[in-house]
Amino acid sequence: MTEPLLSIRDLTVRVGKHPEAPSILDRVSLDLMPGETLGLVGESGSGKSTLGMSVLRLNSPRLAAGTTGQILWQGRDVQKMSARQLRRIRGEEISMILQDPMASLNPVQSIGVQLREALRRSGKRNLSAAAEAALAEVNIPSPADRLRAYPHQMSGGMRQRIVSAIGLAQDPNLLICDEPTTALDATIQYQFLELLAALRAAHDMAMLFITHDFGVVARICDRVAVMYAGRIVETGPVAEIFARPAHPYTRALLASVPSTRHAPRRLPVIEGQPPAVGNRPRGCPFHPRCAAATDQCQSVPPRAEIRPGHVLDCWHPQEIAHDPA
Amino acid sequence: MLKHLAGRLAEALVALVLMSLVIFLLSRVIGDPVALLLSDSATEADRQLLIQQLGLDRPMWQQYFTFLGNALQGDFGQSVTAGREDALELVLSRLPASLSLAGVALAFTLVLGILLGVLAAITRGTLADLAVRMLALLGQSAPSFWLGIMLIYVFAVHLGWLPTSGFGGPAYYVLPALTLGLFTLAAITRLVRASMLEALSSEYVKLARIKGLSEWSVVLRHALGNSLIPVVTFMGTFFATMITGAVVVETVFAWPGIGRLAYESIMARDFPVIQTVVLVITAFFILANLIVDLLYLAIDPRMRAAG
Repeated sequence: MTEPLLSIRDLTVRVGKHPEAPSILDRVSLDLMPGETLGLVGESGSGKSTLGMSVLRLNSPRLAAGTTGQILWQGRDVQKMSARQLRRIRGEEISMILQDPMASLNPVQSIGVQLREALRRSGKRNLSAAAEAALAEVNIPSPADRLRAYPHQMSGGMRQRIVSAIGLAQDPNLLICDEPTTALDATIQYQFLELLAALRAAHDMAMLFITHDFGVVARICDRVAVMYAGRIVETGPVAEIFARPAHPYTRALLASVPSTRHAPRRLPVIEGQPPAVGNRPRGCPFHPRCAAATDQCQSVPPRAEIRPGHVLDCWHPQEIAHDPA
Repeated sequence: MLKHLAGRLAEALVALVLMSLVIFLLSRVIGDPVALLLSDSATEADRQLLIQQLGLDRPMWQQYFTFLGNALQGDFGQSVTAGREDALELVLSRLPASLSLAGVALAFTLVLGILLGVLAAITRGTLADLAVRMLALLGQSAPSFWLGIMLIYVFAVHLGWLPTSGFGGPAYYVLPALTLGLFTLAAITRLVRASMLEALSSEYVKLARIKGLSEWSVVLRHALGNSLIPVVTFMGTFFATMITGAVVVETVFAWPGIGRLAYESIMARDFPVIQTVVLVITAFFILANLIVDLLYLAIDPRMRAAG
């Protein structure tokens, strides 16, 4: 068996150093293999972005102070790296695409300056040619002209492609995508996903794909981890999770995805609200909203591998084939 | 972009003409120029003669256009004080002293204010940040007449390091420039600290960190440029603070600039000189705002597209 590229063990992120401080992430563990794309799915506030940021140690100082557990990048603990070692990892080995393309480019610098800054670190010699090639790779028409342009002169879809070009400039082994399609129009979303899939193949890299959209997961991911209230509640290969979701939360999420295979219907909703950070229930975090909950759910649920690679934390897994009706 | 500039220039001219109208009307409302110019022993005949000479018997609008026409030719009348100097020449002769003092004050406040603001932002929450913020609070709350006198007392009278007042070499600039600039220094420091903190928590700074740039590159190349935009916005206001502050500071430090001239001519009810000082200050104010607009175009590419 090959070594995982990224291995997260019992990652807990609290708001501040105090051991009783409210936690955003609660003992999260996951592995990512070379070349693999893992989807991280969850509602807003489930902690998926904080998880992505933790890998590059980009969380605010308060969250950084409250971080425990291990984040092993090719066997080395990111938490223990010096600022210099960390800088060498950032961009070169692990890169990231942020959610809002309107905000993630510097408004007072041209595209060329911002792109060349990343290319320079990879030691490329002819920077102008490399910059043009990088823009051409993400399907930007007339790249030479675009290098002189400023972010405000471009559409959201184009900016997100430029952000990906910057992310890929140093040819990383892992690309973390933090909801990169959320701010885009539906048609542009599709194009952008196609582009990402092509880039992943061309650069032979792994991806950690953070999203709240199961449709995106189905299109681009190999495996999926479902997050709820700071915990990963279910993990498995995408086909397996879609066909046999076992955690009540995953089942409810999948049931609320609209489908074109059936006549329009009223979509089921999950009653209640996800718990706020600092106000999370004991035991299984989902039990106050779960139809199958019993008193047992007040204590931490056991972790079980019900099929190869299909792991979940639940007292009452529902192992019936999922009917996406 | 050229259209934008032409528009700004037109606005500046309109502002200047409007200001001349305000100044003209004020000088006619406050006090009687004839009474000011005549000696106590003058007769009614002298009075009528002077009114005719000055054209004060003509309608107000005609008088305004005469005033405007004269002003355009550089004729702002004569000082009513004993010397009877040409008002414009008098003001212009005092201008270099004021401009050099304001220039020194503005330069040191900009450099120091940006440095302190950046320092406070990157050391947020530490003792250094607290110290800078206290300094900024003090700077904005200390009145300049008090501050000037205290500085003279400590550094000139007590320690004897610097001259008490007057105009001369570099040493003469230190205390008045400090007094004139402290308020602006505090304002710039607070402004830079706030906008720097905003920039540092922005997504583009996050992306710069993701690229693997060093903390220095992140701060200097990405955050600083963006956090200077609000400083440029307030430059016009800062300049105005310097000029209005000059009236007090130049008086306290016996500095031979137009601030002190304004104070002296107000005390002497020297209307032609007051008018000229106000017009010259207005002209500089408008010029400063024009420069700010140009700076904007240089620093923010979004403005270039809008113009």
